[in-house]
Order: sequence, then structure tokens, then C-alpha cells
Amino acid sequence: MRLVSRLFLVAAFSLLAVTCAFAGGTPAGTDITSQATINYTITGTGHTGLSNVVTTSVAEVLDLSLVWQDAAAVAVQPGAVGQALSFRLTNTGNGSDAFNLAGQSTLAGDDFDPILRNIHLDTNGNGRFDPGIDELYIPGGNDPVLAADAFTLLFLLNDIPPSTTVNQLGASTLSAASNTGVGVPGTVISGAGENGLDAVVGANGGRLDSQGSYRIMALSAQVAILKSAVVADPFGGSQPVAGATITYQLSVIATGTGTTNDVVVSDAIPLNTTYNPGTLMLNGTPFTDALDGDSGDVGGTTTGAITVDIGDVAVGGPGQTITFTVTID
Amino acid sequence: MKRAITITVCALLLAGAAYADVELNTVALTEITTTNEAGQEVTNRVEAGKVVPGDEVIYTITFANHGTEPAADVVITNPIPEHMVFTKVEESPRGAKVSISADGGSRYDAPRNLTVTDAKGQTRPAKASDFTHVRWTFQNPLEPGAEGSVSFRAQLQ
Repeated sequence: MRLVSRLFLVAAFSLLAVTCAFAGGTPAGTDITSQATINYTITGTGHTGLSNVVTTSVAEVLDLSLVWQDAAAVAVQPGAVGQALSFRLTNTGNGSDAFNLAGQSTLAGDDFDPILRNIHLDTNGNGRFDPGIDELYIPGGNDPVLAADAFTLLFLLNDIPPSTTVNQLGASTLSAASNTGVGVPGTVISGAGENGLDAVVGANGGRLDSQGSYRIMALSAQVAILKSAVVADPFGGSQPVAGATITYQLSVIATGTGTTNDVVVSDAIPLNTTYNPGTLMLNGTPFTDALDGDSGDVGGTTTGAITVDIGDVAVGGPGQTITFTVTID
Repeated sequence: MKRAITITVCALLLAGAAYADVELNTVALTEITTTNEAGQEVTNRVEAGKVVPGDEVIYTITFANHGTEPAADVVITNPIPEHMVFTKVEESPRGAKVSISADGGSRYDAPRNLTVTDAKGQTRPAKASDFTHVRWTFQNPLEPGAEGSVSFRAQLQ
């Protein structure tokens, strides 16, 4: 009877074997047991025997993955401070482990060296760097501790040198290493694992580097238009009466950094006024009013409005001045 | 008086041993490949005391008939250990037929004939990860004094 129940237990355990699956492997500390059964007959009588139980214990494997999370080089401006690159650290081992982190920003193969600042943990777990909330990483002080298969986000912060120019690329690397041990894959670190288990260095040697990058982008240049109006009435004064002429002046200037391309300015001809033909000018040079080969027209591109294509406007370049006159009906 | 009792106990033990007939023993081994001084790779088998996910373990079951009578209809069955996936049969004695179960030991057959039914009621061919038991069915009786071994490999998940 006792034998029968033991056999049943063996069968039950083996059923569990096919239903349990662990993403990061069988947990460290698990005992794997095996026992064989023999059935035979001697002179017609059936017998059952069992072998010894052989037990193999699962050691802790030290493994990790570290992946840069930003979809592309992070857009930054020259002189920007505390710019974050995001990384995802996963414990791909089969036991709990702590990881030490380090950054490196003087790398070959890029256009500039970001100035390494520090590393922050994703304290509030929202996957985004929140200054003042996400804790500063202190090596040996708050090394992230991850259960098997668990992951966390990390932020590597750099300052951008002011001397950089548009489109330059700067790389920065985050390194993570198992606190339990690093070395040649397969190295056994006796008793160093969770609960004093033996630890075995995994396929990537217990440490990994992941590189992210910044790219200098032009600050989206902005265009400002200053509009002024000068009224001249038929009596030599400046009263806006019927028959008075209004001269409008639109000054177009760029702000920010870089150049704004393909600037087109439109301005509606005010109600109760009539455009004075032939008065549309850019920097004192007249346009024909028709929609034709030149860059300005009246009522052609947009009904009831003047339109001037002034092209590229560069910061620090000469301002563009559009003028036209109308007569009050 | 004391001596007489001792003798009686020994006699009973001897009778018991004669009755215990076929002995079974299991060992778990792993292969370790090292490079020797001549630069050649040498594979050794060592006892699998510690393993990590991905390691393959070779389970070897030795049998010996210590009885005085031949043992007929010999069948050795080994469940695939928990957290392990069967990879292959390593060793089979002459005249022993290997069969596999994918349903916890109810039905044994050649792997290609095995099927499993999933939660949706769909039946599909069984995969190695579905295997629950491996079995050796001996065609020939095991004569007194005969011994040998069977073995299979499984990988830790």
C-alpha cells in the first residue's frame, strides 16, 4: 500500500513538470529529483522495485540584459544640462541579484563627448526621467536589486558641450554588472548566490554595456512679424477717414537658433479698404500684383489677402520688410 | 541465548536479500568539456550536484539481478524530472524497447504516435516538452547475475 502511494506521488510530480514554465529558467535553489521504477516477474509473481532518489540542485545563474530604450538619438541643444538617456535593465538570471552601474561618455566613433553627470533610478516606476523625484544612483548605496525576470528603467544623464553644432552625434554608455560576480561564463562562485547557493556566471559574463546617443538639433527657429500702420488723410493729416491711405509695414525677423525655411507671409486686406494696385513691395522692391513668376501677389494665392514668399529667414540675417497700401472706402 | 537470536536475525536477512532480486540505482551526471595541455577538447562526466538552466543531465539507471531466478517481463520506468525536458535516450540494452508517455504514464508508445490535447480540445502531436515518462520494456529475461544500464538525457528549463 505504501509503495502504491509513493508511485502515485512520482507520477503526480512528473505531471507538474510539463505544466510549469519559468521565463528566466528554473529558480535557483530548486531540487530536481529523479527515481526509477522496475517491474518484473519471478516464476510468475510480479515484483516492483524503486531506485534511490537522485537529487540535483539548481544553482543561481548570474545573467542580465541591458537595452537602450530611446527610439533614436535624443535631440538636444548645445549647452543643455542633465539630458537623460533611458535604459532597461533585466535580471535574466534565476535568482535575486543586485547590480552596480557606471557611465562612460568619452567614447570613440562619435562627433562629441557628452559630459557625464550621473545616473538616476526610475524611483516612481513611470518609465520617464522625473527630475527631483527619480533618485540619484550612488554606487554601492542603492544598487538596484532585481528578482529573477524583474526589470527596471535607468537614466544616464549628460550635459551637452556648448561648442557642439547642429547634427553632431555624441554617444554615452551605461554598464551594469552583477554584484554577486562577473567573469568567464560558467565560473562557479561558491556560496555567493541567494541563500548561500553556488552562483554560476551566465552567458554574458555577468556584466553588459549598452550605448545610447544624443544628436544636436536646431532649436526650432521662430519667426516674428511686427505690423505697423501709418495713416495719411487727404487733408494732410493722419485721420482714418474715407479716402485716407494706410501704409502697412510687416517686419519679419527670426528668433531662436538656426534658419526658418520657406516662410510665406499672408495678410488680409482690411474690410472697408481697397488695395492700391502696384504698392506691394519687399524691402522696397515692387512685385506685380498678379500670381506670376515673382514672389508676391494680391488676391491670387488667397482671396482678399496679400501673399509674399520670402523664403529662408536666418537668425541674425537681415530683416525682411513687406509694405503695401490701402485706401479707406 | 543472545548469540542464538543474532544468528536467527542474520538468517532472516539473508532470506530477505535472496528475495530482493533486482536492484536499481540511479545517478545524475553532466558533461564538462575542458581543453587539455595538447589543446584537445576533453569531455568528462561528473556527478550533477549543481546545474543551471540550459544544462543537460544524463540520468543513468543501473540494474542487477542479485537473485537466483531469472527476472521476466522487466520494465524500467523513469518519470522526466520536474523542470526538465527530455532530450533523448542515451543507452538501451539489446532487446529492450523504448517507449514514451506524454500523459503522465497512462499510455506509452513511440514518440511519433503520441498526441496531446490542449485546453481548447485541439489534439496535436506531442513534443519533447510534453513527455512525462520514459520506459524500457525488456524482451529477454534478466538472468541471475546479469547487470546493465539504461540512460536518458534531459535539459533543465
